[in-house]
Amino acid sequence: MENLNDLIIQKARPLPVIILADISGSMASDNKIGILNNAMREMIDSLKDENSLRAEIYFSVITFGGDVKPHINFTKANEINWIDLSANGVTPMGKAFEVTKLLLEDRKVIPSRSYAPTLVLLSDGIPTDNWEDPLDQLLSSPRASKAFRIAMSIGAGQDGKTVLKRFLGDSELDVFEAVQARDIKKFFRFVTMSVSQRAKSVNPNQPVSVSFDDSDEDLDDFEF
Amino acid sequence: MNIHSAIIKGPTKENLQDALGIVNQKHFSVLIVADGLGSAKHSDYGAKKAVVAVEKAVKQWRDLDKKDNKVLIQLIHFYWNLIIGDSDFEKKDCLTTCLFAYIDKISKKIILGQLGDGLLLIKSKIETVVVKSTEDYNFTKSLGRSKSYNDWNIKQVDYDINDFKLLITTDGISEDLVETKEDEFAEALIKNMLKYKQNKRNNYLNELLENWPTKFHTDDKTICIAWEKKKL
Repeated sequence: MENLNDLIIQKARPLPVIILADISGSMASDNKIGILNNAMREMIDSLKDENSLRAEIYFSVITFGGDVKPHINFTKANEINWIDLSANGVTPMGKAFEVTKLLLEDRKVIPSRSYAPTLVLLSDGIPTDNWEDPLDQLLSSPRASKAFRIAMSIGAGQDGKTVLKRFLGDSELDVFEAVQARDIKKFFRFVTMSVSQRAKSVNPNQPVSVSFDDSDEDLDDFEF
Repeated sequence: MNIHSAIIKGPTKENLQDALGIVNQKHFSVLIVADGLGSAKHSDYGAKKAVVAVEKAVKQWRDLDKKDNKVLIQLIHFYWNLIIGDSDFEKKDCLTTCLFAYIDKISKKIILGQLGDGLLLIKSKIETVVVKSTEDYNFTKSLGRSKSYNDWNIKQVDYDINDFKLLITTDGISEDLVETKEDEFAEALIKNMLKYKQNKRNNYLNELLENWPTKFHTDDKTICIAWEKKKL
């Protein structure tokens, strides 16, 4: 008998989660960056431990602070050891949109059989580079336009929120506003739930309804 | 001509939303698979009716003089819309992909038609043609949503009536096949089936789908494979 196993992919279909994280210098104030590190680590650890998933969750973290860098290349959740981010420099968000578009379009990295990605954008300020064209190009690209998009303002002000709103486009979700440290954790708890629900569903390409858990359970209680 | 097929419900799904149809006549054959979209609540019905619509369209179209491919597609939409319009369901609740291979044994031409996800493949001495959607994430083109002929992938190929292989699957299978090796998959499958008697080959296909090796696979799976290998 011919062995078909070399012709059929054995690995589960990937569910990509791409996080665009602002690590500009202002994220150092009030230890926002420290809280972000903890929240990201908890999210990844929590999704690592899930054992009833139907998709393999992959993360990619693109940071923008001074420069734009991939902090985590497209990697399976259970292979990630989180290394803390540090805050520095200006906010080249436009460049981050360009890098994200290139990543999404790279079929060698994110194969065609992947489920629709979740794109998460978080920022505490306004971009310091040209961001409108890169954002329009990202949102009009076939894969980003079908992605589930979530955004958080960490005291980004009205102008910063406008950018985040535009990133969300016609998404049913509004921009999350983090006023306190606990809000960042709540946000990542929501992202974790949303990704986990999709990864457990019979059709992970369908949107899931996850309500925002506003309870303060297990959250630190201090302001920044 | 050898024609074999299998269709199974996804392991965790409540309803089978795929559908399959085979018409095998002296002068022509039609193989049809359809995959009802998960987001549409009566897409199982839509998929079944896609099969009926293609059968009716081909029958009507064969009586025409010019046999334009565009007219065939128009007829498929016409019949599907007619059947759904005459049911208790709305079109938006019945969205389905539609893939078919029309094999004309007289003119020795095959028409491959694809609306939405899935795979069509023909391999003969003349050429190998793979028709596969380039659309990501199953936000797929479908009967009930698409209105343009341009939404269809259509290929018309000449084939050697005595030596060809044809594979047609829904995306529950095609998404898990190693890219660029779909023709090898079809060849290996045929080799394996040839080891079984004719009446056991569908069982082999069924077992393959039941024991599909991809981790966490969830989708319905439909496969239809046809081939001819005559020693002249």
